[in-house]
Amino acid sequence: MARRLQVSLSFGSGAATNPFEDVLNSDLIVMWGSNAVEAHPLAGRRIMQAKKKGIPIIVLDPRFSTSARLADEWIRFTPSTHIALANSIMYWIIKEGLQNTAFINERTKGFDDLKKTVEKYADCQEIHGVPLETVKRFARTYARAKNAVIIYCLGITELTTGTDNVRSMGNLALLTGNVGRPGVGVNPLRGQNNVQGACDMGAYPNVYSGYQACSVPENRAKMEKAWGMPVGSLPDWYGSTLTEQINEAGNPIKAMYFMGLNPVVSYPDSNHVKRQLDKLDFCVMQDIFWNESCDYADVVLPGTCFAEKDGTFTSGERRINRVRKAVDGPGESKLDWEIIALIAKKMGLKGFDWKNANDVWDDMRACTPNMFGCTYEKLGKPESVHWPCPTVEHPGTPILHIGKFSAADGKGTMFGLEYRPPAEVADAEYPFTMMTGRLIFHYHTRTQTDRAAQLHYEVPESYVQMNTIDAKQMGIKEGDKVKITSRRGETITKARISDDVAPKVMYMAMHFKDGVNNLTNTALDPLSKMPELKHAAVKVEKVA
Amino acid sequence: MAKKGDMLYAWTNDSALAKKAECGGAVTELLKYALESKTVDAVLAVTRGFDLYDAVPVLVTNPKDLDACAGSLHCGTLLLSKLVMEYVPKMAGKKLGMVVKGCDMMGMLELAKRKLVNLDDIVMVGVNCGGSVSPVAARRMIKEKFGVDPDKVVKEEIDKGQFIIEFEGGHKGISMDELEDAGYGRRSNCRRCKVKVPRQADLACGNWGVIGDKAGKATFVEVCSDKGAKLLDGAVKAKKLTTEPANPKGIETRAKVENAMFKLGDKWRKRDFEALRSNLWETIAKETGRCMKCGACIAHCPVCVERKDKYDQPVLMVRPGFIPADPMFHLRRFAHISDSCINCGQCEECCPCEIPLALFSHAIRTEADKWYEPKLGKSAYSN
Ligand SMILES: Cc1cc2nc3c(=O)[nH]c(=O)nc-3n(C[C@H](O)[C@H](O)[C@H](O)COP(=O)(O)OP(=O)(O)OC[C@H]3O[C@@H](n4cnc5c(N)ncnc54)[C@H](O)[C@@H]3O)c2cc1C
Repeated sequence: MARRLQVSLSFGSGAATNPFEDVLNSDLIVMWGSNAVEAHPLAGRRIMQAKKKGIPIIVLDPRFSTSARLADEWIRFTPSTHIALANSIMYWIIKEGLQNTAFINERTKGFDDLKKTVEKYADCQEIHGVPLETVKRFARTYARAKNAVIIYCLGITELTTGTDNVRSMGNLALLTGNVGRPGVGVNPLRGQNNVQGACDMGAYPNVYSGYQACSVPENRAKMEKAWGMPVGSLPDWYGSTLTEQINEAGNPIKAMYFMGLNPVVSYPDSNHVKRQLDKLDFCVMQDIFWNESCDYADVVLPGTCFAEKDGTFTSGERRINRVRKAVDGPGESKLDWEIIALIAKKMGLKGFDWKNANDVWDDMRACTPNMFGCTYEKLGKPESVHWPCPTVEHPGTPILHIGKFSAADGKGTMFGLEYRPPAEVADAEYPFTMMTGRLIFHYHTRTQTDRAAQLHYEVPESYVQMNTIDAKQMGIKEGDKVKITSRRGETITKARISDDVAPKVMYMAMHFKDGVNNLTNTALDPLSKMPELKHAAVKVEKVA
Repeated sequence: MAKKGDMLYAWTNDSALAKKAECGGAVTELLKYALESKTVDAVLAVTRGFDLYDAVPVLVTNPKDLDACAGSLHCGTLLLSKLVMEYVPKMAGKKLGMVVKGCDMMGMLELAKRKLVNLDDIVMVGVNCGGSVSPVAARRMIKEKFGVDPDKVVKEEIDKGQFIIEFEGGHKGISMDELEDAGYGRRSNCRRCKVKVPRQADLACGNWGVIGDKAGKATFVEVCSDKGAKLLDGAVKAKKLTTEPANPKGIETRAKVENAMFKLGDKWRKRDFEALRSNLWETIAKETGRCMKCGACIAHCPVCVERKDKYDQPVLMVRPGFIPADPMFHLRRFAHISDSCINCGQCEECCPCEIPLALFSHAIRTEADKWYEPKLGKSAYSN
C-alpha cells in the first residue's frame, strides 16, 4: 500500500497517469522492474496488442523474464541498481542535449539539482552492470521517442530504495516531457487486483478514502460528522503500516483482523511473522479458504469470492470496475461487508445499516470528493469511470496531469538522487543475491490457484532459478534439491538452471509456503515503509 | 402438412411477442411451443444481459420466459455447443430445444460425431447468420465510425449488406464492406464463414427472402428435418403460428443473398489465407510465441475435449510451467482439430495474447478438406 506515496512525490498524485490501453498510442514502451506479461495479464494483454501493432518494447530487468522474451530488447542490469542506471541514462540525455527544455522550464522544477547529481554517473557500469554503449543507446532511444511510456512494478518498489527508484522513473519522464498526454506517462502496476481500490478506500495509516489526509483538521471533522463520532475523537497521527504492525504484534498491538491476507506466506521473513502472530491475544482471519495463516487465528470468518458478491474492483489505471454476483457463496459464508456490518452492530456502532453493496459505495462516495461522481449507474458501463470524478456530470479522468500536475504549485518535481545499495548485500558468507517475483500460473499464496488442477499441474512446487556457471561450480544439476539459507531462515527447493539470471544471482517466485519468504528481508524503505522483498543475501548448498 | 425441404413464411399469432421479435417471432414461438407441448424439457436460448452488447445464454423451462429472449443480438459471439456438452450429464433422459447459428449447429454435429451428445434428444431451431461483431469492437465502431454514443443505441441489425443502428433520435447504416475495409465490422472468422443457413438443424429461420407485405413481419423458415416439420405442424395446429408458402420471388432473393455471402466469404478466405501462403510457419511461430498457456483456446473449443488422465502422461514436448508455450502446445491442438475445426472463432475471441488461432486452424481444415478424402475417426489401436 506504499507505492502511491512514491509517484506522488514527483507528480503530486500517486496513481497510474494513463490507462493501460493507452500504451497502444505510444511509440516506445519501457518496462522497468515489471514482468507484466506474467504478473499482470490484463495490462500484459495491452502490451501484447502493442507488440502486435509493432510498437517497440524495451525491458530492463536483471532476469530474462517472460516479458523480456517478448520484448524487442532486453537490458540486463545488476539487481537493485535502478537509481545508478537511471542517473547514467539521464546524464547522457542531458550531455547530448536531448532533454525537453520547454517542458522542463514550463512544467517542472528541480532540473539543476538533478543535473548536478547525475554528473557523477556518466559511466558506472561497475555498479549497474550495463555497458556504456547500451546506456547511451537507451538514453537516445527513450529521449527521441515521440511518445514514450514507462511501466514499472514491484521490481522497483519492493526495495529499501523503492521511493527513490520510483522518483527516478518520474525524473526520466519529466526530463523528456513524457507526461500528460496519450501514449506517455509513468505507470505503476499494482501488487494485486484491487490494491488500488483498497488504497482509494483509505486502507492506509494516514488517509481517509480518496487520500484525504488525517492530519488535516477539516478532514477529521468531516469524517467525525459522517460517522457520528464525537468532535475531536479521530486521531491526527500517522498510524502503523502493515509491516510495522507485524513487528508491533504483542506490543503494543494485542489484536489483529486480517481480511484476504495470508501473511505467513506472503510477508517477508516468514519465521518472524509466525513468531509475531503467536504473540497476539486475539487474531481474526477472514478468507474464502483456510490458508496457512488461519492456523494462528482464534476466529476464522468465511468471506465470499469475486463471483459470489457485488461490488467494485479498481484497477491500477484508476478505473472502477463493477463486479457482479453470479452465484451464492457456499455454506456459512457471508458477504464481506455483511460480516463487517454484523460485527459493527455487535459492537454497538451506528451507520452500518447497508442493504447492499451499492449502499456501502454511496456511503463512501458521500464523503469522498474525488469519487463523488462515480455512481453505480455510471460504473455499469463497460468503459466505467476513472477517478478523479468529482461530480455526477463529470466524465472521469483517464489521463492525469494534462497541462498541470496535482502538486500545490502545479509543477512536477525532479530530484537529484544518489544510488544507495540495498540493506543487505551479498558477502563472503552469503554470496548470492536472491530476487523474488511471480508466476502467471499462481496468484499470491496459491490459496485459490493451487486448487485448480491445471495450474497445479503447471507449477506444483517452488523452484529456484540459478545461473549455469554457478550450478556447474557447485555440481548442481537441473532438478536437483538445494537448500538456500539467509540470515533469517532456510528453504529447500529444486534448481532450474539457465542463463536467465546472471552469475551469483538467483530468483524464486513468492507463492510457496515455507519458500522464499523464509529468506527475505524485513528492512523497510524509510518513506514508503515497503519491505525489501526483492533483494536478500543467501547461500546455497546441494541436498543429498 | 410441412415436410423436409419446404420453404415457408411464418409468424406468431401473439401480437405482443411479434413486437419484441426480430421479424416474425417464429423462432420464439416454435421454442415456446416445444416447451408447452413437452417436446422438450428445457430450451437453451440467448437473452440480453446488461446492455445490447451483452448476450447471455439462458436455460428456460417456463415458456413465458422465452419472450425475454426474442430478438437477435449481433454482438453475441457465444458458442452454445460446449455449454450443452458440459451439462449433458445433468440432462440424462431430458430433451433440449435450442436456438443455433451456423457455428452452434456445427458444434453440435461435432459433439454428436464424438458421441458426446445424442441429437435424438435435441431439437435445433436454426437462425441464419451473416456474422457477429465482438462487443468491444462494436462499441468502438459505433463511437468512431457512426459517431454515436454506444449506450444510446436501442437496436442494431445487419441487413442488405449494412450494419444498421437505431438510436435515440435517428438511425444510421454503413456498408459492411466499408466498415470491414477500415478494420471494423464482423469478426474475421465470421467473414470467412460459409454456413449462413444452418440446414443441418431441424429448421432454418431467417429474414432473407421475406418480401412484399410480409417483409419484416414474417420469418422465413426452411424445413430441414422431419423433426422440424413435426414441430412446425404442431405449432400451427395449436394456433400459435401462422404459415404460408414463401413467395417464389422471395425464395430466389434468398438464394441470391446467400450466394452473395458465399462470394464475400470466398473473398475473405482468399485475402486471409493467401497472406499466410509463403510464410505460414514463421507466422504461426511468431504469433503463438506470445502464448501464456491460459488454456482458453482449449476450454472454449467445441472440438477439443481433454483426456481425464492428461496430467499423468509423460512430458516430452510441452514442459509444464514454461512460457511462452513450447510449440507443440499449439501444434498438437491444430493437428487434433485439423479435420473438424468449425471456424467458430472462440479460440481467437477468448485469447488474451491476441493470437489469430481460428485463422490458422480454419486454413488448415479448408485446405485439407480440398485435398483428402475420406476422413477417418479413432483407431482400434494406439501407437
Ligand atoms: C448474430 C445473428 C446474425 C444473423 N444474421 C442473419 C442474416 O444475415 N440473414 C438472415 O436471414 N437472418 C439472420 N439472422 C436471423 C434473424 O435475425 C432472426 O433471428 C430470424 O429471422 C428469426 O426471426 P424471429 O423473429 O423468428 O426470431 P425471434 O423470435 O426474435 O428469436 C430470436 C432467437 O435468436 C436467439 N438469439 C439472439 N441472439 C443470438 C445469438 N447471438 N446467438 C444465438 N442465438 C441468438 C434468441 O435467443 C431467440 O431465441 C441472424 C441472427 C443472429 C443472432
